[in-house]
Amino acid sequence: MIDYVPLRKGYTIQEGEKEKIETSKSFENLGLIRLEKVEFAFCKKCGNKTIVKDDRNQLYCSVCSTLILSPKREIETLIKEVNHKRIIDILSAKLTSFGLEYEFNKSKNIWYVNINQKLIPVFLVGFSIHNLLISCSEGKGSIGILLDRKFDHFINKTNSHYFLNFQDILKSPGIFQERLKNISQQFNQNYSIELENKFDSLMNNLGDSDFEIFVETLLKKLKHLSNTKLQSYYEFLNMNKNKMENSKVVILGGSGNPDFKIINLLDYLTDALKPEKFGECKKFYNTILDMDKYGKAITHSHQKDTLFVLSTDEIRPGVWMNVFETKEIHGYHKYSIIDKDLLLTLIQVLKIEDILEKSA
Amino acid sequence: MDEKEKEFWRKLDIPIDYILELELVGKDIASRIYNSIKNKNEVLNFLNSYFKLKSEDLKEALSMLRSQDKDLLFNIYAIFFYCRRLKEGMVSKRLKKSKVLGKYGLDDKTDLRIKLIPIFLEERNLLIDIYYDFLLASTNTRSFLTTKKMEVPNIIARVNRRSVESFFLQFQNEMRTKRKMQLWDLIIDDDKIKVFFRIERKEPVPVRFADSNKFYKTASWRTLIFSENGNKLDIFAKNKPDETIRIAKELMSYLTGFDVNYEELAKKYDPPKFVNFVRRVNQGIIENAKLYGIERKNAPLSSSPIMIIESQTNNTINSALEELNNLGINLIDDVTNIAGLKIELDQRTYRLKFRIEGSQIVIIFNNRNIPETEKENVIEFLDGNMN
Repeated sequence: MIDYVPLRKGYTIQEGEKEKIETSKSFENLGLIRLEKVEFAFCKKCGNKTIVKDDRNQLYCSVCSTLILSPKREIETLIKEVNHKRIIDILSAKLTSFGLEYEFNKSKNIWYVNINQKLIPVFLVGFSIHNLLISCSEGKGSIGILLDRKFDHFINKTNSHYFLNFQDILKSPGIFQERLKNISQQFNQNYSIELENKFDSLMNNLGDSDFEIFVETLLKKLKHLSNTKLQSYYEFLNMNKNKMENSKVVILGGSGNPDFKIINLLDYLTDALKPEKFGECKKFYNTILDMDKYGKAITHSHQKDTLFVLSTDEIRPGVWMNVFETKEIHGYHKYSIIDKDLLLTLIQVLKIEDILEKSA
Repeated sequence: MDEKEKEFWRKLDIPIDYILELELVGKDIASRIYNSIKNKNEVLNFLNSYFKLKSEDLKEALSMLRSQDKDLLFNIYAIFFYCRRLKEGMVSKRLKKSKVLGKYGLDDKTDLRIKLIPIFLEERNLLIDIYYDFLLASTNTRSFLTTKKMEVPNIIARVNRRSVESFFLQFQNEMRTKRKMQLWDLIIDDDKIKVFFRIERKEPVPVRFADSNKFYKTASWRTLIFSENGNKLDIFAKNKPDETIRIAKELMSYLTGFDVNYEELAKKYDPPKFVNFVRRVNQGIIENAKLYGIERKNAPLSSSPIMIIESQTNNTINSALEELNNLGINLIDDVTNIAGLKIELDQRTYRLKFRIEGSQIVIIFNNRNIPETEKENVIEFLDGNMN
């Protein structure tokens, strides 16, 4: 605990926390984070901490506006940035060093590691797109890697054995290798892989117009199920409000944006799957949804509530940003996107897999 | 009035010369005393019994006293001045040690100003003790422990006015800019050595009169309290605490012959014991301890903000913390990031701050107005429950 440093932007370490400073410096040497020294001054009147932004000796307290003359400074170390790409590189390198074959899905940020003819998904909690994986037997047969213990509430007694701390893996990589071995021995391959393969092979055989028909069929089924199975699913999400099942990771990034956002899946789906939206459904087959296509689609629908259904997980960050901005303005998700991961999650939880066979 | 008696009052910050001249500018002192008393009967009864008067009227009693001893009335008025700053609660502990009050049937219910009259007349030094108690209560305090524990037998025997004064002289001579240091009092109080001294400021400050400014090099109070045979130090200093620490170090080295170093500390705790303590307070398991607030830095949220949760009423924050926990925001699990607690111990609320030093958690009191005796009570409580 004393030397644990989460890989979280904005985390500060005081001067006296020597073990943590050492750990953070080792992370910086590995290129995982960028550190910055921040100076604080203390107000004698109210005890408030004020950041010292330049080298002036005079500073005004940010709470009581008292002039702090020749302030006594305290220096804290701040994690300015977390380099997720580097984290991915390091984990990939570890897998290679174990002599294991793997495939890394860039749009989902999930590794599929081949052990004894089984594919073991390895995902980063709060960073990988995990909904399909977790919807299949609660993610059994996979390994979740925690970068930050703020996600501790995702872990419970039944699933704790397939989570690992990234910080522990750095200290002793052997535990990662052993966990992979154990998981592959204890569990069958997670069904999400088969499901995704089915979907991908179906999509390869479809053309643009076929995909439209596929989505129409799906929406009809959803409308039909809205009173029964869909409601049960919503209730399930409600019961697991703060768990992984109800969290959808959206990868953002770019300047001025956070790297990723975790949204409440229940809130999102109840807006996205309103039957009124199905009239204006834009289907995007085998293509990246970028601002250009998105903007055109919205204009085309005369800015009515619109649902976007994609056959891939590739969405430009700007598009997601617009989805959330519109939500802030209108109070609900006016424009909603169902990406491949969510699409398959719905197919899985609502048990409508036959739709993948019928259209084939 | 006797010069020695005047000097006694001057030292207690009472403008005795001004009091003595009051009669020249207005009412006589007996009338002034009469007008400032609310409960005239209580005072009359006391004066009658203590001074063996047989008066039925307070004005008459005061006149009788004045004819007996004019200085007495001035002293009584000075006592009233002295009491202006004091609060009953502050002095009751000290007054319990008085042998005089019981003799005259004076108890907690009696007006403080009346109680101090026989004390002034028979146990004058208690007024000096109260003055210093008041000084300590209104100054910031910081606590230190020796880096290496000293085993010096009976350090109290080595400490006397002469040795401290000779140290001050030596310290003064070594200063780059010579500033006068004056020992006011050296008090041994329950195995504690209390050194009250003043040190001149480097530069003169303006004293503002109605029509002009005059510039004087005034002095600031510094107090050193050594306890645990010199191994514990509490310093009371509004200005220049670093200099005061240095003086304390060098004084103790001078007195013991050892090379003494103090490190700032109130108390250090192991993180697992500390987190256990916080959990138990939060669950209401520890008697006489209630959690009213928490300051958590690096909260488990994006951008790691500081979160302060504090009760606005008499309710503890236990339920609030549980509700946050259900939302996945656990504020008390990562104890190395608990920066502060607002905690009620034995009916008194404290704002405790914490900091990590090395592998331990250090408690830092938010300095204002916690007398060092109360700090000790808090530390004793924490020690007893930190397991």
